[in-house]
Amino acid sequence: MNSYHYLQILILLPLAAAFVPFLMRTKSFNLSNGLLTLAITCINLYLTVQLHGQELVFQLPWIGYGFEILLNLNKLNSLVLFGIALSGVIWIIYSISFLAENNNASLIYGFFLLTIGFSNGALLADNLLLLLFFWESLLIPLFGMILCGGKNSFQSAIKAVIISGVGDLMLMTGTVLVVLKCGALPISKMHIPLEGSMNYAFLLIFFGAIAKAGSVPFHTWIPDAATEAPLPFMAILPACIEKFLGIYLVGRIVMDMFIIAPNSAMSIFIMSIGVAGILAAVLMALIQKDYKKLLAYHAISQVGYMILGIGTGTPVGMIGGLFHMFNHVVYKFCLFLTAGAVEFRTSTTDLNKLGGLFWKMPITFISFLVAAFSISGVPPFNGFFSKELVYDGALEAGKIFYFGAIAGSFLTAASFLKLGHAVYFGKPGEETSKASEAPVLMLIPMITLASLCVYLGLYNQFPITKIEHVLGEAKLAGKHFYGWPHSTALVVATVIALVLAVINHIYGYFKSGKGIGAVDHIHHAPFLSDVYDLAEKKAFDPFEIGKKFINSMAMLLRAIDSGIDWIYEGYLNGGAKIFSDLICSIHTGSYSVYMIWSLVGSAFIIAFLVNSL
Amino acid sequence: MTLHILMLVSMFIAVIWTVLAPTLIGSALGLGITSSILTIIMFQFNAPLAAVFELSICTGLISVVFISTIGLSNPLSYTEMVKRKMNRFKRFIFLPLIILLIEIYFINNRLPFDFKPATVVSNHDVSTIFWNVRHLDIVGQIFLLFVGVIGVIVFFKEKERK
Amino acid sequence: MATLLFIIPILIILFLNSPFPGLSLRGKAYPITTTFALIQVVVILLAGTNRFNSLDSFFQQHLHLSFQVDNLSLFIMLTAGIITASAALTGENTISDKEQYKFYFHNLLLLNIGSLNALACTTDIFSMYIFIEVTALICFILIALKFDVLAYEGAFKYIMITSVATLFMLTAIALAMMIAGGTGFSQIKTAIESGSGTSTVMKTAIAIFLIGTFIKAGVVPFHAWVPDAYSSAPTAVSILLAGIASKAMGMYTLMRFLKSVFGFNPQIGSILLAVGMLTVIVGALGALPQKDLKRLLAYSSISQNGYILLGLGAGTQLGFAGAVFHFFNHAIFKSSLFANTAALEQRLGTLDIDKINGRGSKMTFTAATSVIASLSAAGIPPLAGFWSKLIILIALWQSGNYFLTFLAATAGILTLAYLLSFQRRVFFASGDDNQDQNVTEADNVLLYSPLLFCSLTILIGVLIPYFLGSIILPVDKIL
Repeated sequence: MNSYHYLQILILLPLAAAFVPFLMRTKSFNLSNGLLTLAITCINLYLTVQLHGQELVFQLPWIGYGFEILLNLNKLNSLVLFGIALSGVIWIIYSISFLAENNNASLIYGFFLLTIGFSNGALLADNLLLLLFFWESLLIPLFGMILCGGKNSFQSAIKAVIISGVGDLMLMTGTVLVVLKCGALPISKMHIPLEGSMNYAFLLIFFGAIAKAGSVPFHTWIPDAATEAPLPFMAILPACIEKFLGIYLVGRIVMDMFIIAPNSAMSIFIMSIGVAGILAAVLMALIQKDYKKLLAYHAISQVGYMILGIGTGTPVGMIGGLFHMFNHVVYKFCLFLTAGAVEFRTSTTDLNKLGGLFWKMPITFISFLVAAFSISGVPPFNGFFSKELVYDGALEAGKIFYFGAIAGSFLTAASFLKLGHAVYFGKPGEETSKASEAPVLMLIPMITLASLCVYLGLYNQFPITKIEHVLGEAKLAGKHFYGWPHSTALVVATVIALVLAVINHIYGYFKSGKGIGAVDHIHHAPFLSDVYDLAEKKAFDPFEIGKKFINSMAMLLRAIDSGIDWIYEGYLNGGAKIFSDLICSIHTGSYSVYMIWSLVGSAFIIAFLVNSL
Repeated sequence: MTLHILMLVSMFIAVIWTVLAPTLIGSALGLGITSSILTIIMFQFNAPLAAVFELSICTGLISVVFISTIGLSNPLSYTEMVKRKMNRFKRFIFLPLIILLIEIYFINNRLPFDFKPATVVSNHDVSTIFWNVRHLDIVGQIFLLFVGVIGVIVFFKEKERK
Repeated sequence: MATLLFIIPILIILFLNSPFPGLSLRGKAYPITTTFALIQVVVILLAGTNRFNSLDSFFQQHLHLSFQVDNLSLFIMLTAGIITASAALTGENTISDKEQYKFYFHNLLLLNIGSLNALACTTDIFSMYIFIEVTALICFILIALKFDVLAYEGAFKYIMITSVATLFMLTAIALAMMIAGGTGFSQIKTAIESGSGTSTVMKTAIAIFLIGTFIKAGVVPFHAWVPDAYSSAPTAVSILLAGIASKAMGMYTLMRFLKSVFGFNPQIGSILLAVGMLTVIVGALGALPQKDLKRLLAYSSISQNGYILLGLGAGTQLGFAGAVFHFFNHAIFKSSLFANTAALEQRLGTLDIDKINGRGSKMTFTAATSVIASLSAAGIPPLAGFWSKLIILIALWQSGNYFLTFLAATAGILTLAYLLSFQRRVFFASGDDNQDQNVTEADNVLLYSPLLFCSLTILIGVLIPYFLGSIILPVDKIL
């Protein structure tokens, strides 16, 4: 078998294997389905490792018009494929233990396999229509996995699908624009300059991509889903696979599809979106009183850094953005897993009820600590290095972006200080007093991820070199970006921001007397408190705004519709009924009548043909 | 020559019998005989291909249709038959008129004789044509035979049962 | 291969009816027929591999059958195999209770498939005519196998109206032979191409042959026998008639003539388009108010015939491929629907939609397969029916018939309307409370063919890229 055949195996194997859990979905099959999923993810990981570094193309005829099933393995997607495969293996090890007693576990495994298959397809697709196909297919497991959360999850699932659907619709429209312009050109050969309609096409596809990554303003379903959907879903989809896919596509369109010049209007627009996302989401994260919800908002905010980095269009920013994508997955995954472990032992994630888990769950705490340091950008963990690269790029592009980003960093650190304080220190609550350390199978993934945080930070030469390969020698111009950050000034600024965060926390703690209240002074600051009140009422949620708008539209359309209905009922339907009754009534069953029809028809046909042939 | 005349006369008799036969079965039998005589005449006139076609259609097919139809139907009583006959006359009263009109049309607008009929060269004898040229039709006849037999069995059995 | 598939049914029948008790396989007609039909499917699917050539050439040498197999014939033989298997399976529950009649039913099925194979592969119009007649006769007997007045009436109507077609075809053959000097496809084609095609006699021959195929296929205004015959026959026979028999006699003959005998020209095209459009609309409108399930399906069958004609009338290679593909799809989904009616009839004892009134809701499997088949018939993506309709519409558009394309697409809504309204009334209506609630799913043997057909519909629809370039589009080419 030629190695390009492995590309279709990457897609088809998980999809085919997904049938097993769907067919055998009673609780007694939980373990066997889990093991099957583990096996499939291991094969997936093995294949991606084997294929890494190769450049392969796979072709099959498809719907015609030049559109083929065109799979292309290149440097960028082989990295992301590996990332997804690795996180898949870690996820399933954790889930086998976490979901052991869950009634819907098999369904979750099935949807997970579908997710793996579809996202492998979306990554490998080198044809816009094929990409769109897999992209849209991902809505199925998204919807299904949220639904597995129980009775209340339906609203969240609908919301998630509608918001993601809007993003996909934008992607679709953008795809149509691009296809009209370039036909069935493979993505890797496009390189379209931004002019005329291509500006809109770029924006639409870009929004489609960041909608998948869960950036502002397409984020509002994630916090809702955080409390409703099963925790493994939160850990793998919004925090991990969707980030990979979304940022991958952003990278792809910026690098392959379109030509984005640094400091162009489009670049500034992208960066603004990034910074706005960082600040808006982290401000919301700051005031959350739920472990999972807080993490969900951070998952949104961190996307901003990636978009900001890639949007700069400079090599240092792009490398920072892509590196941040991997780092983010590692630490956010780890954070969600600690949340899962806490929930598993205490059956709550409400910060008011939690506390004092430091002594009960030390390993979980240490993993949390490493990941939290990492997300806050404390040296020498991985988040620090990628953030520094992004800052470097942002500073090059404009001071305002840099200040936005560093402010985000300050708020991130503050909210994690609050979170860590509230969960692991302070007084143990009713639920937490009996808690003990999480099971081994859940600890292994957490420890693995925490050590990855350290490894990717200390030995960042390895990942960054890989990412540098993606950009290619030409763009790098001989520079390298691994090792300690080049600009000492930036490091000092970051450290100052972190120290400020600690001071802020201590101030807040002494003011309110509780870990959880450490940021209340920001919450109740004069202007911010009003904004927060509105946000709590979901006044900024495009979904809710859209709902209101649609409701009023619906009233209007209903009025129009009843008018049309009247015409339809009266004339069209009536007309069809008259015709069909007429046809029925002339089928009398009389043989001679039928014979006459045949003969008259024959006469017409013969006359026509004989006279005209 | 006398043979041909003899054939013609016997065919004529068979035709008369077909039309006048009191029962449908007799009618079908007459038709079968008519077409087989016609086949022989065609062979005599050195048109073996046409003869084989005639044999295939009329002796095989039409008979099967006939017999199966008979299997499905019940004979009418005498009064019913008379009534039907009157009905038929009423229905076809305009038939001669229509035929006349069509004929007038074709007399005025003659069909153009604008083609060259191909001469069918048949240097094969009857058995060659039968077994080597048209043998697929012969197998077709075997099919027909089977169908006919099954049809007759099924319908007559059911008729008896009723 | 074609020779084998033609000869073996006769041999099987000889064995089945063998007068020697030791050799007789009387009791095993049902499995034998089903197996043979399935073997035929497998053989056709392996046709490209030339696995059976040595055996086939043996028969070919000794029988000198002038068979010629191309992609179109393969398609017909494939469809014939699938539909015959399904009819044999369904026949177990729908032909009368007496073992004897079931035995004859299977005999006739075997004869039918053999005759269809010959019809698909022969290269001579007279032989073609013979096998059309054999098939017609078999259908005539099969329709009457229900032994009630309605069935007799349907059978009579069928044989009487199609006998007009017989007459026309025979006359056309005689006229063609007069000009060409023979009845082989190539002979007539050469004669037409060498200039005789413009003579009045040849034009008349073409015209009345077209009419003959129209009557056999059952398109408006020659369709009158279809509703009676389909609805009064036993359901297994309806499957056979709607799926392959009437289509092979009419549509396949038409395709074969367009392809290998008199070719396509714009005048024939406009006749096909006009008749096709009329058929689509009248069939769909006729189906709307029907109360009898099988009658409704019969009208739907007429309407779908129209789409095939439209595809042929486009006159392009794409249109031809679309027509053949739709032929296949129609066989699949209509047989599935008819098999579902057999299941409904078995459990509910009636096919009157008003009387059923939601009582089918307990028959989950039947309901599911029926919905899938209906959606395929209405052309909902990604089921197979959608693709064939799409190909036909694209071909129509490309050939410049924009208005017809629009009309045909609109008629798709009518199709959806009548199919979904019957689904709703049969399976999803709430029904009366005092109706019997102990309706259960039908016997397994009635579920096999819907299962097979629905998985085929979905598979072909989803994996269309694999089929489109390799099987469907090259149907016009010689293998």
